[in-house]
Amino acid sequence: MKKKSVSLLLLWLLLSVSFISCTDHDVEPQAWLNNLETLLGQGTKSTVEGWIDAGLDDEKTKEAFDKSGDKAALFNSLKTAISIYDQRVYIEDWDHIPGIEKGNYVANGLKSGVSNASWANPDLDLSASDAANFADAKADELSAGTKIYRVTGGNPAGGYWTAQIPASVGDVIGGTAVRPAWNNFSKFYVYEVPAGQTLKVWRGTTAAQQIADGVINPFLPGKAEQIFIPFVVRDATFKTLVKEIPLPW
Amino acid sequence: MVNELSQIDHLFKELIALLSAESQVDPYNVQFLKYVEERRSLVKQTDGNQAKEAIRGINRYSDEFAFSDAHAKKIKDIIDSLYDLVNC
Repeated sequence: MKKKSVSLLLLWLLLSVSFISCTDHDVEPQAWLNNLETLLGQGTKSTVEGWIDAGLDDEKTKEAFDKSGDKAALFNSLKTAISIYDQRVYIEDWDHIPGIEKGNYVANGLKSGVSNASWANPDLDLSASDAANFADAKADELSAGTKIYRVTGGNPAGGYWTAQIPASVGDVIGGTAVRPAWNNFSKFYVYEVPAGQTLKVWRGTTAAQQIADGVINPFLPGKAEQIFIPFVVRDATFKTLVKEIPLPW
Repeated sequence: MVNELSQIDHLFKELIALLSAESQVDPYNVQFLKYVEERRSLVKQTDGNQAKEAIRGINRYSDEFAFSDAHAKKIKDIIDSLYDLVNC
């Protein structure tokens, strides 16, 4: 009987401690969310909780709001972000954005546009604005049967492609230096050069890119090979041959 | 320098007008329009490398959008011209 009483007492103590721990754990982390709700209005807390449930780091989110001078603007940026990677840029959660490189960004893109004498067509030139996205670039003609690939959330028939299938989102964000603000990496496309034809492109190493305006560290390293298809090459026929395929990850 | 700033602003106005028209046709383009409007303010306040990076970003981001046949080439040409002006 005494043993049973002691066991019950110990069980009661254990449950009490667990209950107190649970309530302590619930109250403290919730305070910042409650304060945010008071500041920004009804629904704020549940929205932020939804983001955290979807994978946004709760500590980093709290930290970002704590140090933000304009919490409403931050909330709006997170709300209108196009992907979780884009949200992570706003809260500076660099550890959870694949492909980025720690260190200071140094621009390494080409300083001017490039022409190919043998094409003798200025419409096929690589403009300075596109050349800036290459560390090096050369004119190339893809032969019939060559497949090229594109990850995008928008235009299937844009200019930037790769000859290799990216293995991960990190390859796209880091290797081809695509900011999460620009692309939600939701769709994957392939284009195959038709029989009897070639495709005039620019091919080279992707230049580094800032991950966001004003951010020097970290940065997007580039270094992957990329292909740029001049605007005039991407005609109506080209567009019809761009096919959506399952994402490779 | 003043002439350059004036040209830059004129090009931004032209670009924004075209993107506004494109946004009427396809609301998906609104996000790019907003991006360009924000960078217009940024470029006005800065110069040199920051302005170049901002317009480089406009160009790279534009690749995510499909514009109408009537405006697509013009939009690309304006962005290229903007970059050429800051790429000194």
